[in-house]
Amino acid sequence: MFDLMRYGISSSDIVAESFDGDIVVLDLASGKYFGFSDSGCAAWEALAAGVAVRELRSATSTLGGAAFDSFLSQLLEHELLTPRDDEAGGELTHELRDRIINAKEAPEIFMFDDLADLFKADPIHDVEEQTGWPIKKSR
Amino acid sequence: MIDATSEREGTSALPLISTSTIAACARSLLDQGRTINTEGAQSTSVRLPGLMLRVHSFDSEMSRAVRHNFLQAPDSTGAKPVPELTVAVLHGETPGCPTVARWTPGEPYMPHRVAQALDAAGLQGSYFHDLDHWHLHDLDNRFAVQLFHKPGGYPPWEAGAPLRPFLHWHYARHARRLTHSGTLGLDGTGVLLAGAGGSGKSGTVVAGLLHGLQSVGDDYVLLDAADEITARPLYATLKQDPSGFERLGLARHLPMPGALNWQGKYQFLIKDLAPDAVPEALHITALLVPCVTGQAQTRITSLPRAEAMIALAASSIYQMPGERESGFRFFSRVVRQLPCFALELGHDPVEIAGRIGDFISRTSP
Repeated sequence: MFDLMRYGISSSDIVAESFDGDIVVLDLASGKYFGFSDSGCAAWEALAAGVAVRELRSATSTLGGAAFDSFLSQLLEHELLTPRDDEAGGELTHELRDRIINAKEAPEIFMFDDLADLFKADPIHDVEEQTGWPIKKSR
Repeated sequence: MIDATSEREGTSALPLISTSTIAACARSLLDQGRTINTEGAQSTSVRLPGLMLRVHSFDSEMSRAVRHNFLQAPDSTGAKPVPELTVAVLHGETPGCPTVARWTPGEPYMPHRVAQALDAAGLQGSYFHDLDHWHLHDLDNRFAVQLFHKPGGYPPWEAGAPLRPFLHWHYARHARRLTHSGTLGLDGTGVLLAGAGGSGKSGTVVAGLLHGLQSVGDDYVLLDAADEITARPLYATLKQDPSGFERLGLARHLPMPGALNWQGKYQFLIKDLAPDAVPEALHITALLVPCVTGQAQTRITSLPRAEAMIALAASSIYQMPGERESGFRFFSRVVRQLPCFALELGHDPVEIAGRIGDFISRTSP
């Protein structure tokens, strides 16, 4: 990934809320929920604000070199982020940098998508939303 | 409105609908539904918190469910008038019923996109493919239609908590939420119990009711999240599977519990278990996320709000059709306002109820 790349939240379908520093992201279209490790929460906030990859890779280097790249790859794979066209973007704030430096965990993403289990009592929910209703959720 | 027609499984030609035509078709079905002569229907009025429901049903089982499975709210005669919602429950044998439409075969049904298309037209709707079963709702005109092919031609869960999508859409517009949650309380103060099916919500609620606690519901309750969090009752039913029924000793209270429902659970009324245990509202002071542990003693331990948010919002939002973002924001406000805890359930119903009662007493203002 290019060091100078900046990203932003991919669409209005991606919504996020912060709870005592922990982030919960919901993809409204797919119904999937995402959470992050402690450094992942700070990295998500920075990436969503358009902070350059180079800054974040540097800030997270003490947490494991490949961890940030893997984290970013997953965010892109889940289409939570998309590259920004413009070159303008935010800078890594002291607050976010401190949170990353003081984090106990490498940047990680957790996905909560096993809705078939959540709603096993109600087969109306037993669908793969990315594909649509006619396709039963594969197990 | 109509893309094409098809014949399948012995049904006559049916209008086919896609995301691009759903709004116009829904509007047409609602307009036709409004013209139905309701003289042959079973008409029931249900007084709910902030809503008077007028139901005209041509399906006998749904009529029975509407009459029995709601809890009437206190009569607020003299207070300001509450909004009304008229619901027509129609099937293909209802005189003058519009033809039941079918989703276009092969056309993906994406709930979020369908909701967006309907919302742009001031409507809400949901569709269950297997039975061509529709809920359609016109917010501005306060009229809704539940439409299906033949008597009883709806999914089995519909009768347990009838008209659930309509209540969800109505209350969401009034900054309230139909919420997938259990509740327990003491003297008007209580806790929410949030979690997926099988997490222990219903069993915990029944344990509490059997041992002196209050509840406004074990499955779906109405939440207000204005200055404080308040839960109000909507449905009069409780459910319990046979093992829970035995563990909780329910046979002593319900010697003839009837047949198991479609989930393999007994369904019964709160009043049959604890006649005076449903307050008008519970002031909610904490969110508990139960889990069945098998340990002897119940433990209540601090839980990160993000985890509580997943437990509360995921099931509540996913079970209610339509637009989702406002629900995500609503439940975020709820979680931020409440202290959140994991409820590690012991196996003794008396001990569970006592532990939760003590907790509520200690956290009451």
